Amino acid sequence: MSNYPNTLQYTKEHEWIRVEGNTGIVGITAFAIEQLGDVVHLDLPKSGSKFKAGESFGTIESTKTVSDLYMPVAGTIAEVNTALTSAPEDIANDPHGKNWLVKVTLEGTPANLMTADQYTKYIADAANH
Amino acid sequence: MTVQHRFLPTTATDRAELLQACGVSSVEELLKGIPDNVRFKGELPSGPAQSELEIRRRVRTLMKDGRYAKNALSFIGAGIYDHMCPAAVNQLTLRGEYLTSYTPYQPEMTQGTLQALFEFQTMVSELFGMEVSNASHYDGSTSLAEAALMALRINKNKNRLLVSSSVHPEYVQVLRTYLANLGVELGFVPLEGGVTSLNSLKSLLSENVMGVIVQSPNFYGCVEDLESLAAAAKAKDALFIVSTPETLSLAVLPSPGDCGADIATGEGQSFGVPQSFGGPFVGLFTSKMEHVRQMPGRLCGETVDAQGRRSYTLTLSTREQHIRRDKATSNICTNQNLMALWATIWLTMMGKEGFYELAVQNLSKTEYAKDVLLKTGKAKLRYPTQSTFNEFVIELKSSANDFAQKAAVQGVAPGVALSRFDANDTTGLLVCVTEKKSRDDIDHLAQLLRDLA
Repeated sequence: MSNYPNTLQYTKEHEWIRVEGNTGIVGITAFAIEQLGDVVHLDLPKSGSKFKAGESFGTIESTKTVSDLYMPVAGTIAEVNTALTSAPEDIANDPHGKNWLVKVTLEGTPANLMTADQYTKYIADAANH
Repeated sequence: MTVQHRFLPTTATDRAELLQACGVSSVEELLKGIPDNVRFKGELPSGPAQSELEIRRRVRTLMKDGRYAKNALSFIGAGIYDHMCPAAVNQLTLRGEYLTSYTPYQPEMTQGTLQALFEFQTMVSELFGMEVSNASHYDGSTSLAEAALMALRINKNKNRLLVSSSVHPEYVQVLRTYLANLGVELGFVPLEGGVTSLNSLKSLLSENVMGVIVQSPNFYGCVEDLESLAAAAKAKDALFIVSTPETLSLAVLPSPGDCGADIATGEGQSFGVPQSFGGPFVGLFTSKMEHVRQMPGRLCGETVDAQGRRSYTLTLSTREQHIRRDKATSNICTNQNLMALWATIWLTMMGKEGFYELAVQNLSKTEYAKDVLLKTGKAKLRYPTQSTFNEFVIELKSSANDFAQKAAVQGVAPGVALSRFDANDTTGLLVCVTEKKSRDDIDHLAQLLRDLA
């Protein structure tokens, strides 16, 4: 089982966010990547695009499916991880660290997110169903 | 309903059981949800049932009638073109290994069909000058409508789509149907001398426009200045979408890709597919690679099998509805396989030179036809300064429809009276001259114009 850092907050759709001042760094969890399989493509928005919390901001494609990516918090895209978009298969290596997806300028405080402990329990429950 | 019919397999008992399962006591009760005013009342005007012999006799009589398309001398185009087709195309297409209308899902048993589709895609993308082609759609109009949906996916924050007024009116109808419930606002770019007005396009363009749709050669036969129109669209970040119903024209005209198209679509009927009654045809769809993940439809790719041998398979399936469900790039993920195969064999038989030669024949016969029709003094060209391929509009002194009706009695379809699409346009006749029309045929049309118009 992967280790879910305490410095991150998690969504039910398996995104994580790390808040640093006014910026949120957003990625997806090791659990999500395990479920997806080999990732082949990432479709991420342009810098400057605005999203509401819970809105789909892009897609992640594996050899078997495509999933939507959902914003953990309202904000404007400040930066896209272009190193990752050009080599999306790398995401499995360090999904909670250097292989983040986007940086967001926050518009509001993250709400209704899970702590690492809550998320670990959440995916364990999901696995038992 | 109680009579047992030889072609309707359900028995009276079957029907009773079916009605019971539906919880109703009669067919009438089953249909009561249909509003009374839309129900058909009375007998269908088809007359009593006839025997097979009687029907054969009736069809033979109809076929002797001069207006049966194969007997008639037809100058009808308007999106469906009368091109020659070598007998081998029919023969090869109907081979048992190929004869299925269905898309091949299983690469382990359909390598032949998949390879043919791969060749099809290669030829189509080369013709359009585009980077990627899909395995086809139903016809040119649905390809265009799918292109509009694709533009909406790429530019989902924009809500306006501009369509040139020279796009085939029936294509526009299909477009309206596809877009009816998606909140897309259609704007129409007016024409200037038979082609899309560049100045009007520029003034209609705004940040809100997701794409611009242009047809070339357009519905009136005129060749559009795609390059200038594309540049105008790009200046406002709108996608430039081209529709080409007469794809044989691509042999002599600059390709949509070279002119700056982001998405280019067309009708493959010109590749030897019979005009029939308006189908089945084959829709062509090409795009820039940059947007491939937003493309609709089946896509065939080349790969290697477990032993490293070259093989073919459907690819990028994650766009499709069996994986992506309601978020699929299209909910029509099948293709027009048999007609795509037909087009592939036809193109292969024509070859590069044959394809070009055919197009040149269309061009020169069309110019000859313009010349002799004008010399009758009964008609003039509506857009005399525009370049055309194999279609043009002539302006009669009186009703074009009357002339067409009179000519039909003599076994000639002189073209399409434009009043069919615009009631105010009573004098316009859209004439198409393909390689199949001989000099005598064209002279005969001119004689009819002299005598009847």
